[in-house]
Amino acid sequence: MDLHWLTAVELNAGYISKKFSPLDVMKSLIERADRLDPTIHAFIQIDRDAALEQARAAEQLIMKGQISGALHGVPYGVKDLIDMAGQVTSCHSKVMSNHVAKHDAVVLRQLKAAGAISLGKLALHEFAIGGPAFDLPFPPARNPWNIKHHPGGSSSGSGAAVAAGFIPMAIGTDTGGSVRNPASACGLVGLKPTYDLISRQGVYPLAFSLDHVGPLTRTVKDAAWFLDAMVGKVPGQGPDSYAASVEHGAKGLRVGFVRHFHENDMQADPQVSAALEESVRVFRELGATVVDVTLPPLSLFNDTQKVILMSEGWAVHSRSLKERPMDYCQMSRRKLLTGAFLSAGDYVHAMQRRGELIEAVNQVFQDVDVLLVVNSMDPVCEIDDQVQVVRTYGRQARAAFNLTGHPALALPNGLSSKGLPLSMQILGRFWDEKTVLRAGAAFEQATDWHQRHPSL
Amino acid sequence: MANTDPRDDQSLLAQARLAGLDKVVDAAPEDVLVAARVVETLRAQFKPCEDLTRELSPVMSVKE
Repeated sequence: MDLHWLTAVELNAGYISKKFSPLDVMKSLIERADRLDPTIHAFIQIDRDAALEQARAAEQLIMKGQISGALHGVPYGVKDLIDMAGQVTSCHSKVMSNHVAKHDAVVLRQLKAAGAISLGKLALHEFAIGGPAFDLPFPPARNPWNIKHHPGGSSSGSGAAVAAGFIPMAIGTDTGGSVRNPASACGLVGLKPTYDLISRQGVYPLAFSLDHVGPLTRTVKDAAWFLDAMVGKVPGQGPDSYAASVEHGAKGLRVGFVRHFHENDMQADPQVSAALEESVRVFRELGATVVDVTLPPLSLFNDTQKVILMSEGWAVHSRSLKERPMDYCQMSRRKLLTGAFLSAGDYVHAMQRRGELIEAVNQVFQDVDVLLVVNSMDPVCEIDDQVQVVRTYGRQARAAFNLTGHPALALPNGLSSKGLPLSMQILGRFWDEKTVLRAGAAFEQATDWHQRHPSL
Repeated sequence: MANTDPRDDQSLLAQARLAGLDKVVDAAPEDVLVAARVVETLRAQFKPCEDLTRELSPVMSVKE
């Protein structure tokens, strides 16, 4: 049995039935990461001793018939801009090399309470904005599907580690799509919940009003379990849990297809468009109604999000950019310096526009339950092809929903001709993660994209 | 976003110095100029609301 491809739900079942133990799993994952991560670079730090010690303790509890929580003994990884008490929160940056966290972030406390065990800290784009880059203290993570390609970002290590089978789930953060981009590039499920659903306390900010914390997993059901734990619910227990929502199918759902984002506002790669059309067909076959809907132009969302991101990012980084600018990688420096050239009025105008765009999305949700939206417009490119990295990075429909705050689920819906994952997004009303997860799980059960893994 | 006139490099670097960015202007002026040009392009594209008296989006209002 390949322990490394088991989901959190499957691990939980295996522990309870005593087919294998948390220690078996942790040893297997550490062996795999030690063997493969020197070429993938998903981890900044693997906490071998602590993880094994906790796994041993989890095993002993199971032997006594005690389970500390639904994620008891389940390994996960942490994007290294999230505080873990006593450890450096590097943000993948020289700037933060001496920043030792005093406390666990709230989201880590929730996962600990559910019994999950951290295997270590994961690579990212510097401060969640600068990457993929080669002028940083740690190398950039690479895509397990093809290590010549980048794994998306900014939660690059989170995506790479889950896709490589090092861990079944990882925490990412998403300010302009940074959970959903690696989910797209690595063939994973990535959830950006409603703004403020998951605590950001102890998470290094990029742009306060756009930042979201979210899970990356290999299945929708795992995403639901992880989300339950991250907000302090008991996964899989009670009708109110997110996990319960994944069992309800797509029959009767009203799906709005935002076709103009990838056909008119931008022109997606034909393979991406074809995968979306096939996804529409799957939803119809499942008994959902699919109709085309119209939102404001994608460029209006993206431009507004950029003004806010640049302004808030400058607020966070202005002191360091004045005092030690050369400690940032060039890409971060160039992106973060933009805020110095924006005015307070620019920010206010963007926030006014933001309100209008939120109302427009809410209006569409009066007629449909979820939206089906393109994720990346292109299959992911090679990591050292700077021209293609720059060209493709902004060709996406993710940032729009950091701006509006609606929940957005990325999930795989195909493979490109080069064998690289393709992805779509399912959007929901504010606080309606359950319907989003329900639709995603129904699609997943009707397809087999989530069962494909990279050959490593 | 009223100002869409392209400005010369020296005035952009002077603006950066006024913002306290002397170190980066001295060490990596090209990075400063790239950032400034990105903002110029964004200014030219961005459309404010018709009604400039509209209240800002209160982000926390998404909690109903």
